Amino acid sequence: MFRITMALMRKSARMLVPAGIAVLIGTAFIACTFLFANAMDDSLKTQATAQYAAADHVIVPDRDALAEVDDTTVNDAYGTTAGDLDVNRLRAADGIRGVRIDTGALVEASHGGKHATVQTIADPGDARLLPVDVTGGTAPGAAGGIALPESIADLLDVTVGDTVSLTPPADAGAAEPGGPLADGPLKVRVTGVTHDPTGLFSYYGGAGILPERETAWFLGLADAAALPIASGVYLDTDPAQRTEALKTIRQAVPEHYRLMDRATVDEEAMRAYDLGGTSAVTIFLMAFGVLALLVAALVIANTFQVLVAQRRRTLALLRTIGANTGQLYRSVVLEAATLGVLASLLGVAAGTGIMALVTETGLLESMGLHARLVMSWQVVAVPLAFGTLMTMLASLGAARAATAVTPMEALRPMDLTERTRRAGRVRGVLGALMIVAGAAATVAAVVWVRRNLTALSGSTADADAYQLWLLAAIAGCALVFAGLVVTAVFWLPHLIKGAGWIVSHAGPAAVIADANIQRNPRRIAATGAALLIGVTLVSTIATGAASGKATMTAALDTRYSVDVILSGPGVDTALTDQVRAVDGVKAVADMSSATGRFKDSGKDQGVLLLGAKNLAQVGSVVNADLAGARLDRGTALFPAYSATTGAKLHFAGGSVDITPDGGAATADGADAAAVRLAVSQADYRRISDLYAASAFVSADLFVDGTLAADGHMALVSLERNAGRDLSAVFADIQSVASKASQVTVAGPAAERETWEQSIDAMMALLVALLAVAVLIALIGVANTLSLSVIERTRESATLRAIGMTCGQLRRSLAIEALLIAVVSGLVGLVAGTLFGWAGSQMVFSLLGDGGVSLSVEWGVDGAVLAISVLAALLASVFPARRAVRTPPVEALAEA
Amino acid sequence: MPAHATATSRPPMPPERLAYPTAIEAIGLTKDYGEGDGAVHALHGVDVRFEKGRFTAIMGPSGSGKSTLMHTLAGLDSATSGRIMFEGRDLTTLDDKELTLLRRGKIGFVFQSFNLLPMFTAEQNILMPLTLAGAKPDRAWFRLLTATLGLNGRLGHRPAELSGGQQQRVAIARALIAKPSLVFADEPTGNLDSVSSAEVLGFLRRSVDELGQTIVMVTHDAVAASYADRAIVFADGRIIADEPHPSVETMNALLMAERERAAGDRPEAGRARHAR
Repeated sequence: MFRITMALMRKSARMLVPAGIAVLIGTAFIACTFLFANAMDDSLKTQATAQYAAADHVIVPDRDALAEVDDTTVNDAYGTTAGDLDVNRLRAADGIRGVRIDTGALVEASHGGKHATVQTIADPGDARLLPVDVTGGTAPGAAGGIALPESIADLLDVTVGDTVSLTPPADAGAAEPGGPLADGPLKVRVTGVTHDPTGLFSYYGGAGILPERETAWFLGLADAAALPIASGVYLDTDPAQRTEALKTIRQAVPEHYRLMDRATVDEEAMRAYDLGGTSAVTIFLMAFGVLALLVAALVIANTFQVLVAQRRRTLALLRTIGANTGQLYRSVVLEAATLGVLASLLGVAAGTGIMALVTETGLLESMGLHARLVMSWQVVAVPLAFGTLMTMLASLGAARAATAVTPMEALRPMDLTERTRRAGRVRGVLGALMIVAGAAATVAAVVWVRRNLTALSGSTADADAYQLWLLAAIAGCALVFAGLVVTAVFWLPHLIKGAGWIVSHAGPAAVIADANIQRNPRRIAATGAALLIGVTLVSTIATGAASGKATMTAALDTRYSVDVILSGPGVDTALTDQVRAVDGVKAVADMSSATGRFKDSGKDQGVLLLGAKNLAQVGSVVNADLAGARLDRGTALFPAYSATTGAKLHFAGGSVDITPDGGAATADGADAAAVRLAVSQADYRRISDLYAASAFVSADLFVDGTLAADGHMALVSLERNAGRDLSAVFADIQSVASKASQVTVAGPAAERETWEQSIDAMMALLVALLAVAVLIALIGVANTLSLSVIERTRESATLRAIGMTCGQLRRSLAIEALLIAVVSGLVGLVAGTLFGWAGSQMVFSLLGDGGVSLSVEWGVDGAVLAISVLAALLASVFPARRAVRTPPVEALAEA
Repeated sequence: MPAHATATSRPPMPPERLAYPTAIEAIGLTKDYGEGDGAVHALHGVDVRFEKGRFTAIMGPSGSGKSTLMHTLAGLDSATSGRIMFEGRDLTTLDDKELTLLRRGKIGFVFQSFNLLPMFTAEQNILMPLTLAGAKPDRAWFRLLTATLGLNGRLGHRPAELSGGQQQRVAIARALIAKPSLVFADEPTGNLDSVSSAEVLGFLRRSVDELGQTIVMVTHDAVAASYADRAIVFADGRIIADEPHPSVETMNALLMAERERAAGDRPEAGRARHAR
């Protein structure tokens, strides 16, 4: 039977190819998942021990011992210095090649007007202990100097031999008076360039090397002996003289510290990272792989069903010469197993190849991830097992059909088209129940959230209830989804039939397509369901992301009324002009600022006064409804709510007395005269967090000296929907501002930027993962069409004999493909949007006090639909070619 | 040496007194399959003319090339050499699209295994050539056909719900709906029992007599051939007999003669003959 099965398989090889490809893709994905997890583990492991470089022993604080002593002792222990360790004696001792103190300072390096922040490590003097590679030049050594990371060297445009100025970083506070840094920047020579192979310092963009003495200075210490050793001391000993060296070292280990050998250290580091097990990330990625294989299973089931139907004659023949039903059953399953094994092996190879390509070409390097190709048994075993099992399971239905073939069919010509079984009633009832229950749960959860919206930020009881309802919503959506897929065999053919009827008026090709679509509802439903799964999931995620972004934008808009605020002494007309010139900036308002105090309900509050030309100028940069507000020489525009307390601001008599700060004191020492202004209020928020109110007054008040400006603020509004990403505009503004000194750039645009980037990145990742399933589903559409064409050879020939042109035949196949793809795609998009809305309602209502913005991600949705349409058309090309290539004569030949 | 045996007692017809105009004519038609030693010569330079408004049968044993002749004449298969003149055009020069359009409107088909489209009703099947052309059906003609073929009452049924004879009649109606100049029928009674066969052959006869159609029928059954006005006997890719007013007896005799001649070329078979 084995040989017969193989012969049958070879004959039908072409039909099995699409199914094989589907399995290949799924298993490749799973293999990649494991390889990715391995690479991450490897990367983490490398990073976890990278800092030790080639050290073979380590001195670290003894945490266990320190847990048992009092705080003063602990503080003392952590304050142990290099001097206490007598580092220099150690270095000079026999057998000790090098000692590295794990410490380093953050410095700001400048060259030619450019500045950059550099994370440095103290030079151990022994290259073997360096966790970074010196690729150009040398480490500073005894002569002093600095080795800069490559990226910083590029940024500052320096090479070995140039001089850079080092200063403590901007927020480090003033340098010690009298210390070596008190006289200004330290000018040092660039001795070398470093490269960070393990990504240990990727957060800082690499690490520079600074001699220990200078490191101490930048850490605010007097000299190298004061360097703290609490982070660790790494020792490189000569193997030949190790025992002696260890003796010396042991004597030097300070109290509450211990000496560990490298192996122990590595072990502890690994344990800390909890490596080697199956992490959450792996499971997450695997879920997508399993999903892809499930979709592939539908394709395989379809293929085998047609295969068996095609082979009925041969199977019947086998029965007449003595094969029993069990053998036929096993034959089909064996064929499936063979296909599964072959496709899975190829998939593993493909996955490995892709991963190798990714790691070799440094694609991940550019993202700051250092990954290697690390094989493990799971990479091969799991996809192989999964893929083969899935293929075999998918073929069981067809195997059972094979056993129904009677020997009589060998003698009587059989109608090749499959008789379609009515889908089980149980399935329909179960599916309907799932949909109803799921919908009820989801709706209930959404209603609960909406009703309890305001109370959500309150007590823990609400938080627990929220969790429950969230779970209910998720379960509800999942049930509805599953129910839809299970019942697809009932409603999807009807929908497609309806669509077909509409389309059938478009010409004879459409008439034929419409008739063909209705012939095998189960197969059409299975094909459509596969596509439905993929499209729904993509649409859900896209809709969730869009709603999230919109809600976040609306929330930020209510909380922050100005997009970008530039403040600081460096803000002047020159800067504001430059900012105005940035592409994507709508308006810039350069306002003089002053601070003062006013009374809100009797309480003294701070106010930031901004001088605006007129209300229109304010309106151009503040996102708020300014209808009914006034701003003129005698009127100030105040916010409706206090920024510090959140309560409404009340102004008795509609006017306010503002006492400016920093105004010249009057002769008798009292504060400068209060300025009385009428008050107009509008709801804008948070221009500055430091003051209870940020109020707009007429700029004339500054001009005529009523108020003395103590600074400038530039309020910037950004173009929405002008094609440029808000975060990109913000980044441009930042770079313009960085060229000036003492300018702070702030504003919700930064928050929004981070949020939008995170959401977009998440969405892109999830959609990319799902794209695999969608791809397999589209292969399924192509496969179904091919199978249909094979089944309909005789009919196609008849049609051509009675006058159907090749063009009409091709068109009818294209229309069939389009009907399946577009109908399934549309249903998926609608379902996905609804799920996305439900999910957004549940999750994002926590953020938006104004309710959740439900939007549609037209971009992704449109793209998915367009891709489905294109893929459907493409899918019909090969089957159409096969259909027209067969001369009618052959097909009509009497069996 | 080709032996064009002419009919026994008919004088050759002078060309200027043709009683029936030509529907389709093959000139030197040759069809070969394969190459070199394994080549099969299905047709050997066949010259034949079929007459309009007449029922012509092409008879012969299996493998004689009769089906090939019909397929080639209809443009379903390409010829190796020769010409096929139909309504003033040489079919061998037309491309697939033009031939397809010809089959839509000018040439009708009836197949041995009916070849109805299972997903359409009888009526839709009948109208299919017009649907493909995007043309409106002539309702009067449709009613006439269905009445003549006795299909009223079965028009809304799918092929699976029709008997073999009914299916073949639907197929005939389909072949005639576009009022073709010519109808080819390939063993139309091959899959039918004797009663249905008689019905179908009777309808074919009526469509020639009452509706003025031209029918060329391929068959190996002498009874079927007896319904025709003229029977051409084919063997080994050549015409070996052209019989006007065929009857069952004459056709059987012709077939038997051909079989004996074929057997006579082989000595072992000859021994069997002597043994009779």
